[in-house]
Amino acid sequence: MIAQKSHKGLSYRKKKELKGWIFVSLFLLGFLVYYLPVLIDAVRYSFSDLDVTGKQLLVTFVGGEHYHYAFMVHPDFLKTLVTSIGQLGGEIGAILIFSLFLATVLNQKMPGRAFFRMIFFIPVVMATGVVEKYEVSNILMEQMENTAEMGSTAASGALFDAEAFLATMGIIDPNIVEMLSSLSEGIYGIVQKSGVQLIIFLAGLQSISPSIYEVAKIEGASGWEIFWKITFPMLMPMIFVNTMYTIIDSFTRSSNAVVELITEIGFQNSNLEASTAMSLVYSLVVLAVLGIVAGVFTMINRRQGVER
Amino acid sequence: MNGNQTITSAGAKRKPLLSGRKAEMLRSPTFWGGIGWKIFRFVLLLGLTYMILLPFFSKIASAFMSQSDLYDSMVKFIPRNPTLENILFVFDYVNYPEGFLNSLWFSTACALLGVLSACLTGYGLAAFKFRGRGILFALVVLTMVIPPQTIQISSFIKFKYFDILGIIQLLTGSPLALNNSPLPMILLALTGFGIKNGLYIFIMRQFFTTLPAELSEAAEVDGASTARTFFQIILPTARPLGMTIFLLAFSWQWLDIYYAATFYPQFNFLATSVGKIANSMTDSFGQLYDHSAKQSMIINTNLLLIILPLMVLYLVAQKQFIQGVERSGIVG
Repeated sequence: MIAQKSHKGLSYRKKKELKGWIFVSLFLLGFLVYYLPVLIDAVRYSFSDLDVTGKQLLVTFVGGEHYHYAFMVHPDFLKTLVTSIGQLGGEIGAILIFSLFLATVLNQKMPGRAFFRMIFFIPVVMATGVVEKYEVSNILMEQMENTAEMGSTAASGALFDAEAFLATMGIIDPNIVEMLSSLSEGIYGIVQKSGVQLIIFLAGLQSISPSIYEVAKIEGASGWEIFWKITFPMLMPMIFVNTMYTIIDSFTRSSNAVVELITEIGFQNSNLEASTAMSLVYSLVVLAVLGIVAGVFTMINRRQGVER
Repeated sequence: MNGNQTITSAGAKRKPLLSGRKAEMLRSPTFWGGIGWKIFRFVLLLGLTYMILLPFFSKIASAFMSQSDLYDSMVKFIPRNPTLENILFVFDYVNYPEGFLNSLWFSTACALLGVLSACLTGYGLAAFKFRGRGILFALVVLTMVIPPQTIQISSFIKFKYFDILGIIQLLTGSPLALNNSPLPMILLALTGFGIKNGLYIFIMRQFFTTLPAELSEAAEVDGASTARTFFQIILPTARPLGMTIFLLAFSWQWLDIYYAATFYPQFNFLATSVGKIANSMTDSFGQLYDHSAKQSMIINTNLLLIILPLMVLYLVAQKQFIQGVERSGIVG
């Protein structure tokens, strides 16, 4: 009551507005004091030389030198950028299709559903950070996947590497062998990266009212028709969110080739400025990709709207 | 994957053996929509389960392996000469108890603050109409979209020479060096800029928009202040989702090496110990042992010790985690 008196001058609407600002104030503070300055600094540093050894930071403006280095001098940056975008395109599609399929399966009633859900959410919790980083170079696991990789280095000569064996015998085109083995590795990676998407699709599937399906069944629609005419359109918002999330996640995870290169240049080669320039270029690429994808989705939505 | 093929081929082989009605039943679409699909589904899920659990099996196996098992071609999962050598070595080398406690308090603090700021910001964006709300929400999305690597170096510099509008410089003569302290991550989590905090705010905001306005209005009519309404009425409804986000935030912080390396490299976190062990092993044994099986064995053991507490936490909290996911407003 006392609090209300002190605000007497403000209208109800104004008060509500003020309360809204109070709730978001922590975020706003962080944005104004930390995020925005840091973002501006990133642009500034990419055009400068830095000295971070002393008590005071020294910044000298040098123009577009670091961008020149990134594109013209550095041997791998441009190549890595282009190849990784191509690779990610395929991977992102695979993750989306896989997680949608798995979500529809896990949404069905069956024995052991709770158990399977528990298992499939494990990667959400586990497959990041240090685990993800060191899993990539995990020799022992490879060894367990395809027997006897170690044979070539160890004493026992009787063992052989199946992949190399098939290739040298000329039974199968080495390209196909390589493709098959990368595919099996790929499936593993896709399962590990589909956790959050699976959650979002599952939540979406559960929000579709069962009565819609009942009506469709009574009208005689097949499972195939039901999926494409009901489930798929109803999931469109989730597909959009998931596509965006998958793009962001794939482009920014620390095992991404470009990210690894940028981190390496920044912290191992201590070329902070070039690293910043490269990561700015990279962010612009990511933003452009997201923009294009968002544009495509709005176009599809609009076209669907016209059809209806 | 091979399992699927054997199932289908077994089904095809059995076909001619069956006569009359049974064969008809097999050919009917309801069979493949029924039992056939069920078997396929079960085998598929089992196969994928194996795939997800394989890293854990391999880690457990390598933790108990002795060096002779490494070169024994017969040993795949079950070591012939099981030993505690690896575990004891890692336990000692990384000072596990210290690292565990460090990671525990730090991850708990960051996750709690992250959830709190996500609830506050999410509720502010969802429940109140004010000018600039749309822009603020766009800014939240922006922080999710910009790769953290872009601002890694300027963040590092920001906290090495920390200052707000030059005030600290005025008072003490030089900016504060906050790097190599827990403060940067704590401050970032508190304001909603920690690991993936944008995502938490986004999810929370989506959830709060699904709450009916009558809920807070009724409390207000009854004379509750906004703060009281928020803490006693609104927050309890968000508890399942809040738990889920806490679990995510805790795990991601627990496994983080990226932010730790930027802001607090000298601190003994469990996750960063892997990098140290990997580097020191290559240093002391030279290039020969880089990527060798022995190194891989030690790293696997270390990873196992890192994820073991998370596994326990997940097993304890998984029911709530999945419920939170299912009831969440992620869907919007």
